[in-house]
Amino acid sequence: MDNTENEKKYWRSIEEWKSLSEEFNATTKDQEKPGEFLSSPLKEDTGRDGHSRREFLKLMGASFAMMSASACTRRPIEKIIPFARKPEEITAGVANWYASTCRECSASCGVLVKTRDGRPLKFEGQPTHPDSQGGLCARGQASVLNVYDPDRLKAPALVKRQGQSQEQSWGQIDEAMTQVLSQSKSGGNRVRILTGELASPSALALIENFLKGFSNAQHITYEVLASEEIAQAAELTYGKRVVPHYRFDQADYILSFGADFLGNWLNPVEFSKAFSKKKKLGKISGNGSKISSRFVAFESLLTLTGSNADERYSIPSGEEYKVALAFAHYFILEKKWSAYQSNPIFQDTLAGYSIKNVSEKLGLPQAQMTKIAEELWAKRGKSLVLGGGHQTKGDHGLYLELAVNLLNTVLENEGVTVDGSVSWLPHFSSLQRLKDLIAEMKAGQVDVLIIHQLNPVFSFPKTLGFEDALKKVAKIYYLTDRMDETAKVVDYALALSHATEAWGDASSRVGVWSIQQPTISPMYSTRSLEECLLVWGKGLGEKSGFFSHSSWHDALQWNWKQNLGSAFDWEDILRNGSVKTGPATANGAPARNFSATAMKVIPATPSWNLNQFRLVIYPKIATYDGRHANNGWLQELPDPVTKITWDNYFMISDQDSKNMNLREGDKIRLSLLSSARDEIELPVHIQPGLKEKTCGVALGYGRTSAGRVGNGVGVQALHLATLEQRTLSLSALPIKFEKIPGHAELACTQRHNSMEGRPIIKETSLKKYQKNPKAGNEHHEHLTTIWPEHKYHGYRWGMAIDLNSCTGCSACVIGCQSENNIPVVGKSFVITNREMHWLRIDRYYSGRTDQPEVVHQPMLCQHCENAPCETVCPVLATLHDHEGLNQQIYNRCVGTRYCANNCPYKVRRFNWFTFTDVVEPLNLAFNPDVTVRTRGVMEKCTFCVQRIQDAKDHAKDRGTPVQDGELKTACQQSCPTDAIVFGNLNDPQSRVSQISKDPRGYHVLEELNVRPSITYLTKIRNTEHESTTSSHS
Amino acid sequence: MSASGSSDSNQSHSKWGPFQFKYALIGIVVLFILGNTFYTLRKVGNNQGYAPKQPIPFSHKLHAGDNGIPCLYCHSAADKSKSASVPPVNVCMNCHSVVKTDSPFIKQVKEHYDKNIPIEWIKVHDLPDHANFNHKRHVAKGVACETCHGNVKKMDVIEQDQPLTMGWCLDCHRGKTAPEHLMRAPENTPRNSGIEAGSVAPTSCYTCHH
Repeated sequence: MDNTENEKKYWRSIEEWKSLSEEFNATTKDQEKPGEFLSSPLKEDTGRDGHSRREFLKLMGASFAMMSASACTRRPIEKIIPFARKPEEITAGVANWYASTCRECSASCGVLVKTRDGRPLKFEGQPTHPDSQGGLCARGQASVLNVYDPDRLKAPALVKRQGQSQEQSWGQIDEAMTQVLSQSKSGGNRVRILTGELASPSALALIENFLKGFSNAQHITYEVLASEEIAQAAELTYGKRVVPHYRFDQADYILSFGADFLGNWLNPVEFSKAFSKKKKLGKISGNGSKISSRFVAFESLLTLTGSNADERYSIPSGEEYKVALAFAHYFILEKKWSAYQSNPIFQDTLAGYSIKNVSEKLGLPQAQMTKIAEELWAKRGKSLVLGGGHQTKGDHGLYLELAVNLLNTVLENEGVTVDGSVSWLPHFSSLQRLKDLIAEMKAGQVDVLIIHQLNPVFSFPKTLGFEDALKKVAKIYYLTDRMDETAKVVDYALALSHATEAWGDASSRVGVWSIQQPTISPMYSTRSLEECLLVWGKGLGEKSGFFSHSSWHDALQWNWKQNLGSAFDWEDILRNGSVKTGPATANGAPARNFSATAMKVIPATPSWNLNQFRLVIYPKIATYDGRHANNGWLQELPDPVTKITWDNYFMISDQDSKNMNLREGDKIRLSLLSSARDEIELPVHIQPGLKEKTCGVALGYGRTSAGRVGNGVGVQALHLATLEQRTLSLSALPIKFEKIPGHAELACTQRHNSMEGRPIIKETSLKKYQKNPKAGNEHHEHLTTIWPEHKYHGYRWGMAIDLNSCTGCSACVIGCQSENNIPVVGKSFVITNREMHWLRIDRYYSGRTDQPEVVHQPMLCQHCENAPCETVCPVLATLHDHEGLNQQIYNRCVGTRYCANNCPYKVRRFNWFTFTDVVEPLNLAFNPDVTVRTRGVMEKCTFCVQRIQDAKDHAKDRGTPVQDGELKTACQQSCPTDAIVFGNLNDPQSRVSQISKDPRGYHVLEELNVRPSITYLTKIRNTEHESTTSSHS
Repeated sequence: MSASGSSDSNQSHSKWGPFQFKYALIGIVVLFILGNTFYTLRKVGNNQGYAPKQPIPFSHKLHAGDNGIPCLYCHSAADKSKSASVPPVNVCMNCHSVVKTDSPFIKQVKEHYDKNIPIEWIKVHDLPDHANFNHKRHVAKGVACETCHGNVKKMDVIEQDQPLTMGWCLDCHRGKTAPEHLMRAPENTPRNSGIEAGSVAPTSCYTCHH
């Protein structure tokens, strides 16, 4: 049985790759690392809860003595505190779900908020939302923790720019505000409102109405990470400032230049949904499809999206647009396929960018490039070219967008896969308007500045000069949820409500309206921006429109009625959460006309200065621009690619690290090539998939006033950004760096297990799969067992995970954390491998270090039939149940950890300390249906047994068995790509039984004969790339 | 040394010298402490007979017994939820806005209602946090409230009637102590319920512990 696929060598880190190539055992090297032996569980100083070993023994002695001395023990008195006046809709112990909208970023996905006893407990995707369709990203899932953030601002405060706050009542604030605003109104003073990208149509209308009363007032929108280049390029090429709607559901061929559309570019949840649907094969697709879309990526840093590409090419940062132009050159000048061939503008701009020239300069395989071009042309009208995002911020990003627009037009995708008729966001970020504002501020012309949430002192790079300009503003009002960096230098810090505490709405794109319902009354004395403006507007004597309503709830309802007309049904809106009013986009939109003169912006003669180190400042999936820095779940979420938590770091390619003699964790001092200002010191992380001279560092770190979790995590790198002619540049920044003494341990979660050459991941190419659906999965173990088989009369729960759909986005990790009360352990414990995630995503590399192929594999308790953990537990704390679940009973567990040692999948987690001992009110985020575990207890994935019990409970009420699809585990629910299917394996008709029988299905570590309940489906790469089709040597 | 040693042994008339007596005494004390410890440990957490004083002396005997108010009138979630629910003050006020409004305790209740301040009742039937008990399922099955809560109709002060230990739960689930109408022959056990042969209710750990 020849099975070359499984001989493919996977490596998990650079060290491992080296050892593979040197045929040298890496583990011995790993063990030399300092910190690896930090992990003595009884080390006296590691007791986070304050009890060292000696103290613990003393306490134990004392408590036994007391136990025998006092004859009777009474448990602590607990209280039952029912409502004084119970709201009708609340039943103790029964969850209420509210349809709402996630407001953590401007993608505005629909959510369902689970509440118990009036407090939000979990965010889940809203299946009826037209865009997000039930998916929700990691940040959205983690949003619920922000409600209970102990460091929230609890009341408005007078700050007086000295960092010392003095609490005030909203009445006092309103009075002062009305006075200031009415002076401005009568005196013609300048009033400015600065916000991030607001996706709320009602809030935007309210701001507009509010500012109308003033003779000189403006609303400025700016976010560093907003996709302004797309809108700018659209204006140049099509004459209208639009961020189009990308139709992944229509695209059979996707070519991306750095766009991290599965990670955090525009609307990743919607894109992941649509992208993965085109990748579903066999039984999981529902129709036995054997056709998959093809996705080719060119990018500088290895993004989550790039890691899911069928073919990925690393290129130096800043060169993306040249590659895009090379394809345009091929279509227009070389093959003369396009009508643009005779246009002299294209002759001029494209002449220097032939595939031959670009491939040679950037070290790309020319034959492969030509092949991609031919494929693209064959798929014209059904392909999608994307560019931009966080890796290509800067003028070169604008060139890239122009090239991308040209390619989409030439390839006839315009109007089909690129829908420019509906804009993604109603209000765009504008750097020019921000620059104008800063100039005004510097000139002392701004009298009132209202800032909403942005935290500009932290999130705007110094080069913009915003912080200095603030000093010249007469009055600054800042709506914020915490005393952050900006709150310390304003006049008033106004406490802002969380999205679950206030009414609002959002529009993920024009034509889609979704409601934001409060699910808890504000925990503190807080308000939303809309509530503030409504009160202030009324204070100024406004009486019409929004201001004719007594509350924001009424005003919001009125605005929806105005806009939706006959589609307005308030009850229905509250029930469903979202309404689609826009045109049905299934048939495509009219193609926009491409203006050739736009191409003149691009430099006609390419410069090839590839010898400098180039830095990309990028946002991480979890922490984004730093707004979520105080969220422990997100800080501890391993980066999907690097698997590092709690830090930012200097990413460098393997080749450069050798040349510079740098090792993982070494410290470097980094600054721009042009000036030594804003020097930063960072630890080095050697990252596969980078071209030589390309480096990366994450922004959003180095917060100083985020709160107890986020303060002092990582280093602020944003100040290295520079202003270019048209844009703010965060990428291709020329830098210099030097090694400095010191070593830092990065809290990486990928070290503690290795594949050891076993076929944990199985993959093959699409061609091979089409010939033989079992390709890559030919070899199966057929072993007999000495144990008696389990018999299942009722349900037998099982799961199937499609490795071809899983993108590694890690939404499931946070979904699981939220559902199952999984604690955050902190950086030092992650370093000692004590993270508690029940579900982790393993990431494996294969192939060359500069262009690796990547696979992501969710790994959780496999609920084995012959579970090795069950046979070694001396107290029967883990045992098999009658529905195929591997039970872990906390109250029986005595903490021997034999089970964890005997688990081949390493999915069991031990509570070394009472990690769940959280600061109030974070305890309110605990799920009351799941036991909160204490020190000394083993825990692991339960297949969300509380959800199983709940589903069975409802089924028993109905008198029928649990229906297929009715019951979803938390990870399955949160998955934006529907890679996880859960259900009853005893029902041959259930989806999970069907999928488990797919020829692609295999069990991890079959040779151990533990018979897992989880079936994985092989990864199918749509490529003929040699590393997938032959083994790496 | 050896001579004096032998003279010592010759001098002792009885086995029970002061040393032996001391050891025996220590032995008895140790045995007593150990016995006491085991006896205590056996009952640790078992609050049978617990009848704490409540903030307002509510009499189940008067309400459920003498006046015959059904349990579900006040504990309205018992057939809808895991939790039986203790009534909010507004349920008290359904009657007590007109009944016995001059009683000092009812005045206290009314004050709670008017000021919207909950009454903090002391929990009597307190299962450990790692045990999930579902009232709804038991009510739906026809287990009487009295089976676990005792004859509440006769209790002036509510008290814990049954041990509420895991063994006690399992005795019922295994059919040893289950009420007559729930007893059934093993062959009648529905195939889909996952109930062991001979039992009347599921006995797997995850039924309650998750």
